[in-house]
Amino acid sequence: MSELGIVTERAESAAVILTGHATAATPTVVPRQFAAGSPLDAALTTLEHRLVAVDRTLANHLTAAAIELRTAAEEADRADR
Amino acid sequence: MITPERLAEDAGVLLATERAVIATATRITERALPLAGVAEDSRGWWRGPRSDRFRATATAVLTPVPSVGRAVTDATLVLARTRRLATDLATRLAEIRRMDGAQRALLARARRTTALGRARPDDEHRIVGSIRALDREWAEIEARWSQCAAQAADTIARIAASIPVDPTPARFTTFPGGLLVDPVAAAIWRPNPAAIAQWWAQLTGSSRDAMIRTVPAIVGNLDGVPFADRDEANRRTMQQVLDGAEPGSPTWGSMQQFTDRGDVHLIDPLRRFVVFDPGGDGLVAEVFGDPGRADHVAVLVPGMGSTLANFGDLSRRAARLHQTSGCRAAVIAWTGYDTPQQLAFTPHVLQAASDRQAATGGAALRWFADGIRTQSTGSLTLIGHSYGSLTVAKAMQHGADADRVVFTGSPGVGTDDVTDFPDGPTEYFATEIKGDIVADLEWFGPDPTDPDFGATVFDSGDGDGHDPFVRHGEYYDDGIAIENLAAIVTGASPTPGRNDLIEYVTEPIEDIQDAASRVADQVRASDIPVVDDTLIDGAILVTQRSVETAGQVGEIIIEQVGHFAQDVVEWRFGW
Repeated sequence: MSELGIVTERAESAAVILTGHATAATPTVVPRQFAAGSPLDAALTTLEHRLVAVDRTLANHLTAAAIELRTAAEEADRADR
Repeated sequence: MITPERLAEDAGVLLATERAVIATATRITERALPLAGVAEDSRGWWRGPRSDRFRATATAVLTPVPSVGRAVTDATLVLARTRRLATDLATRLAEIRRMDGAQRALLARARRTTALGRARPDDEHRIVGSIRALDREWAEIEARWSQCAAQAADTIARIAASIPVDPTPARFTTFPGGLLVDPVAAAIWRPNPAAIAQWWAQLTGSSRDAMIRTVPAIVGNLDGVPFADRDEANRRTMQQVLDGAEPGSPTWGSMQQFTDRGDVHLIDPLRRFVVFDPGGDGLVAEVFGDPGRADHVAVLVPGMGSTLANFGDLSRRAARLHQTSGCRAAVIAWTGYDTPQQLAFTPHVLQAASDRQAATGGAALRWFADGIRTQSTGSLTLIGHSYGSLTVAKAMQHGADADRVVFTGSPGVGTDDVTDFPDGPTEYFATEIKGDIVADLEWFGPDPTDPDFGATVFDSGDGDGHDPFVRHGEYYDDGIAIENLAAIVTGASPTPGRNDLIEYVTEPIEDIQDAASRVADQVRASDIPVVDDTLIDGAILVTQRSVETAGQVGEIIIEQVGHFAQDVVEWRFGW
């Protein structure tokens, strides 16, 4: 297999892997109302929302990376032919 | 007041939170590791400046992940400690409650025996002392829990603040291949369609194609992306749904009805879809004509019970309006929101509807309208039918930029009159087919065809159906209603509405009632000290009587002359 053929194959399979992980759902945030009052509630909500934001941003990056790899695979394929 | 049960509940919630935090952290790791692996692995088979940029971006993306891991470890430790304390304290509170009950029983018995002279008063004092000690411990536990929870909150807040979050939560992410719209941001924050249009235009053709192929469900519904590209993306999504649907499943059935063909694996190539989401009851929008070239664009917004499966009805209405306008207006059938579902078309079921879905739909419609503006210089008319009129009104309140708004067969639009809408040059029209029962319900505010509402009322004829609910669905049948809609959409004047005779009679009476009510309100609100209370009471009484009398007069007139007089006028003047 040519060098470009290898790029096509590996980039395409990497794109598939990343797309799979990018589309996995983010876990849901726990609804709550503590007897101890709102400070604990607010802090935990902030914690969870921040983690969700990190996860969503990462999912976004994975999708973008998958697109980039797929584009690279297509370009290598065209150049190979 | 703290209780063992409530504290045990808190411990349960803390455990659930602990698990949720760990689940999210696990998902973050599950995403980060493959990206790190691919970036590292790619060194062996992908070279050149583009691959270097790819790896550099991946490294930058992954840099904050370890600190997230540390934060999660710290947070779960605090959560576990707090949860264990809550469990211990709940157990102790339960013991205190049990001991307190026993002591109080002893006290009652001691008091009885003391009264009979069989026990010493010292026993009673000792028991009271025990009860007080238990009460004190209860209060101390409450204070201790409150303090520990506050400390935990403080620590968790600091840990949360240490988690690095992109301050602009990812509307766009830059990667070498271009920009990507974050799916969540697209769904929740609805990025500015003008910015989306600009971004899409600067992408290379291959990037656009890659996005359509990779994330068709996002591109197909992204306001600001040109309709032709949205159609291509939605076609891909539809094909994926059709290929993946199990025969006989709800999705399969819904798609079969939607495609309106015997073979569900065929989508008419001539149709163009600019919204498609098969989830739930389904969202879909179809275009007739070319908004990019047409002088006028109209959006039909349907009411309750509109789904992907029955979209054919709305689609046919839009096609008919497009044809009636002489194809001068591009018309979009838009079921782009989750409409309230009706089990049966009865007043009872309709009355159960709230304006919640209209509010959500109105926000979506506002962005959709902005998306139209990015590719059309023509005039824009939003036409709401039934509950959809409320959705259109909400869109206007969300800031939709429409030249004209039309309410047809409306049960109210959530406002008293047109002055409640944002200032601007928008023209408002309203109509109802005579005998359309839904149009007189006023469930969401005054009837917009009421002269006091301030919309231009136009004629929609008498309707053909004997059933008043059938009449409610006749606005888009061939006839004066759709001709007037076509006139409005293309900037012409519709035929003026014909007020019922009853309205000629009742309108002045309503004015008297309104005026009397205003006087009564002013008198009630008056706090001028020199006015004697009896004068105020008298004034209120007089105005109340005026209101009642006006109402009674109105009822008598309506009853006496109502339909008979209307028939006479129809015969005499040919109205």
